[in-house]
Order: sequence, then structure tokens, then C-alpha cells
Amino acid sequence: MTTQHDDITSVVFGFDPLITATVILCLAYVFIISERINRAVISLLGAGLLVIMGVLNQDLAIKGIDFNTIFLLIGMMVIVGVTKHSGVFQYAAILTAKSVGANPRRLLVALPVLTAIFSAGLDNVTTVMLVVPITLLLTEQLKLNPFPFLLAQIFASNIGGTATLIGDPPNILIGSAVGLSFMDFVYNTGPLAVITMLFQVIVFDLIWGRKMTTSLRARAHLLRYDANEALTDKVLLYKSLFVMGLVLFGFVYGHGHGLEPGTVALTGAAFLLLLDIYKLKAEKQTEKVHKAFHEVEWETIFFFMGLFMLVYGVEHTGLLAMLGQMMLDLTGGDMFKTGMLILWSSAILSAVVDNIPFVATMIPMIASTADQMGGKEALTPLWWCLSIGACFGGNGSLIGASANVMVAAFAERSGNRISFVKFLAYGFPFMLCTIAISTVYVWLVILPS
Amino acid sequence: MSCKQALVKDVVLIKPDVTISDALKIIGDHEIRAVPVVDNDANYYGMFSIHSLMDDLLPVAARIAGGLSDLSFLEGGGPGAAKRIRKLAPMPVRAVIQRQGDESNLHPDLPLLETIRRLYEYGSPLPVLDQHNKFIGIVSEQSCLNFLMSMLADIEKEEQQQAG
Repeated sequence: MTTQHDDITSVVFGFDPLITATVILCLAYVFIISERINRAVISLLGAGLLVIMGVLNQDLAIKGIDFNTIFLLIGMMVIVGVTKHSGVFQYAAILTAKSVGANPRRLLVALPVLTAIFSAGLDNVTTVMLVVPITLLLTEQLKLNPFPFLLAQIFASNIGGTATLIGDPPNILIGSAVGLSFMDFVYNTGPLAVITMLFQVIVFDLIWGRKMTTSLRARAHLLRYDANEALTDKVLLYKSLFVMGLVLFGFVYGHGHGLEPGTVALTGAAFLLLLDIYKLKAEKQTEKVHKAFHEVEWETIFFFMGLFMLVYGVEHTGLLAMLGQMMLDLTGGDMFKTGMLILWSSAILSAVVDNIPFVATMIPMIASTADQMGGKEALTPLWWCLSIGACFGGNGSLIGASANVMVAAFAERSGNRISFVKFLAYGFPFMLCTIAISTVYVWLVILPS
Repeated sequence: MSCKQALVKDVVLIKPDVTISDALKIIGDHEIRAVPVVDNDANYYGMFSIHSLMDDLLPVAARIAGGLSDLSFLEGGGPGAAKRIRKLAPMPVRAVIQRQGDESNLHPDLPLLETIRRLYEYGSPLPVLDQHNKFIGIVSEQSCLNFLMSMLADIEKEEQQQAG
């Protein structure tokens, strides 16, 4: 087994570093999956244990943290956190509803599509937190069953998030570790996301949409909603849109000029804060900045930090190279077979477990096979398979993705509980279909290129 | 000096199964702001008021945690809210009131200043419960003020005596 002897630390009691790191990682994963204890607490404790036990030292542990991802997450969380106070997302949802004349069948197309578009630019959880309340209002006003709408938005958030680098955490992790750019995702997973959304729209229309009706009076009521009134802060809106435009520009063109997403996002966030506070007195400035940083999901950030360290522990001690070799032995190094193995196994596993630890572990594992697969560049199709599998797989069960859990919570609170089994009955087959579509896509589009 | 001093025991009460429409009538007839909901065993269920009803007139999407925080765009929502009153009217009050957190339930030995602070933070009136959590009475902003005014009168008398 390969260990770097120049910076090896010695493990307490003379334990084998690889086994120690693996045991700590497995224990952490068991706790994270069982959800008995907060995942950020687990991952930090696990990482701490790695250092205390001597598997890593602090320098190595810090080296294992992907700060590009961390900065990207923090930056985007601040930007979205500030932007949402302008009411722009409610505005877009109401405008969308009115533009289809509040026709239920068309709403079942329009709202999920809107959700998918938002998800491509924002994280999925924030997207559904912004769109679901409006959806619940609209379905209540039109006296429609909210279930198909909520289900469609869960699927749409996971599908839309697959299309871009920043749409879903697996993509951020993969893109950052491997050096894939914003446009790389748009060109490779983007078209698949569009095709899959089309599939979703058709399926939902066949099952629910074409039977949906509502009274003309209810629709007329909804059409009286004044979307402009949802924009509670127009000045903030313009500032936010301006900064988001800059950030998007930075994502698209920065990669070729050595400007990574982490820098773009965090600097963009700082710039947006500047625009928001520069006219204010010091005390008010502090208050606003304090509130803005409050919008960052620190629990998620610390979870990621701990996770990076945990995974680095097993990577550093050679476990992942071992597993990578096992994978190659299984597929004989054949690109298509390896891709399919990754696509289908990540999809099914992502449906069952939190896809972030899974993807974080898979990345170094796949990377370790570079030499046998023809070099780093040759691995590219495998990254797309991992991304697609991990993102689409989230649709497989209620716990498959954080956005699913968030929507389920809203559903429960509003008296429209979605049970685990009910979701599984729709979600799992749907997910399998999307992976089947992806298989064809990978075979026809990704592998040849 | 505790909240006992501002306690009002002679209070209009309603039972948990009283309908909302009857409860509203009681509030109107007695010209009070809120009425405690207490059963025959002096168990306290919560405070019923028009204020507590306001939330129930809103669409579900605005009532849930994380829901809509601004309804400025919602033109023409009147009929919907009116119909919700119709739906609520025959329901028992226990369906719409909640027991607030522990901080808004006072106990007789709570210092007066803290009592005043809680009235300011949680609204008025607030229930006073004994050590077995049974309802004894209420404390209101008015009753506190009355007590303080009478105390001020005593203080001023004393000051005059000392000066004279």
C-alpha cells in the first residue's frame, strides 16, 4: 500500500493508518446516514479524531479541505441570501403563473420548469424554499391537489441542478477537484438536463396534467395578483441582478484565465455587500453584514470541511487507490463499462444515502485510476457519469436529496404529507427512467466526444 | 414585589370546546381583548383573542414556518379570508389556540419587573399558573399599571410626610 513517508504521522498505539482512517470514516458515514446526530458535528468530530489518533496532522488535514468549494458555497449562499430579500423569486413565480393564465395543466409545466431554471443557478434547497410556498398558495387558491406540483418541483430541482457547475453540490465537488469549468458542465450535462426535463413534463402531463381543471372564477382571482408588489426592494433587486451577472460572467470566462469559481463567488458576495451598505453608518453596516453572513448555512459549510478531511484521511492512507483498483478489475478498464458502473451505482446509492459524502469519496477513487485509463483527460466521461448519477439519483427516494426533505417538510406543515413509500413509488421508477435516458446520452454524446 | 400584586382572579373564562363564534361573541359582549381557555380542572389551554384568529385567516402558505412572509401581491384575497371565518366559526377554540412557550406563562412569585418585561414582549394579558400548572388568574398591562399607580400614590404620600 502506498503511503507518503515524508509526511507520515504515527498513529497512536501503533495502529495501521489505513485501517484507522477507514474505521473512522465508516463510523462517521453510519452516523451521518442514520441522521441520529447532526452531520456537521459528526464530520468535525471524525476529522478531529483523525488528527488526534495521528492519521493526519493539522497541516495535512487542512490541505485536504477544498477551499475552492467552500468559498464557492459561502459566496453563493451570501449572494442568494441577500437577493431573496428583494422578493424576486416570488415575483418570477407569480409572473409565471399569470403568464399561463393560471391554467392548471400549464402550471404543472411552467412551475417545475421555473424551478429547474432556478436550480441551475442556485442550490436546490434554497430554490425549493423560495418556490414551494408560492406553489402551495397557488394550489390552495385553485383548489388543486398540491402533490403532483410538489413532486414535480422536487424532480425539477434535482434535474435542473445537474445542468451547471453551481447547480448541485456534487457538481461543485467534481468541478473543483478535477478542474471542470462552468461551461464544461453546460455543454455536457446541460443538454441532458433539458432532455430529462422534457421527459418529466410529458410524464407529468400524462399522469396528472391533462386531467387537471379548476373553476374560471378561481383562475380569475389568481390573475388579479399583482406580481410587482412581490418585489419588496427594487433597488436591492437591481444590485443583486448586476452582481449575479458579473459572477456568471466570471464563471463562464474566468476558468480560462486562472480565475476559479471560489474567488469569483466570494468576491462577488463581498461586492454585493458593498453595494448594499456603502451609504450606511458603521453600526447599520455591521448589522446588515451580520445578517448577510447569517444567511450562510454554516452547518453545511462545516459539514463539508469535516468531510473533506475525513476523505483525505482515507485517500492519504491509500484506501481509495485500493478501491479504485478494485473497480478497474471489475470493468477491465473499459471506458463504457466503467462509466456505466459509475452512473448506475451512483444513482442507486444517491437515492439511498446523502450524495455528498458519496461523491466526495468517489472523486479521489476515480482519480486514482487515471494512469490505467489513459491519463487524467481520458477520465472526463467518468466525471460526467458521476455527476449525472449523483444528481439524478437524488430523485429516487424522499431522502435522496436535501431538497426532497425540505419539500416534504413544507408538505407536512401544510397538511399535505408525502409519505416515504408514496414518494418511492413515483420517485424510484422515475429516477430509473432518467438514468436509462442518461445511459443513451452517455453512449451517444459523451463517450464519442 | 411580585406579579401576585397585579394578579386578577375574577376573570371571564371559556371552556376548550366552546365554538369560535361563541367565543368571539363573549369577547365582544365583555369588551375584553382576550379570554383564557381553561377547563373544569383548571388546566390552561391558551389565550383566545381576535389576534390569535388573524393567523388562521391567512392562506396555509403564509402560516407555515418558512412560508410566504409578504402577501402584498395578493389582490382580491378578501373573499377567501371571509370564507375561512365561516369554516372556523363552528370549530372549538382548542383547535386554534396554542399554549405559548413557558416564558409567557407566569407564576405568582415572578418579580414585578420581569412580569412587566414579559407583558411587553409577549403581549397582554398573560396567564398566571400555580406550581401544579393550574390556572389562577391573569396579569394584564392594565392591572400592572393600576398597581404601580397606587404604589406611586403611596410613595408620594410618604415623600410629602418626610418633607413636612
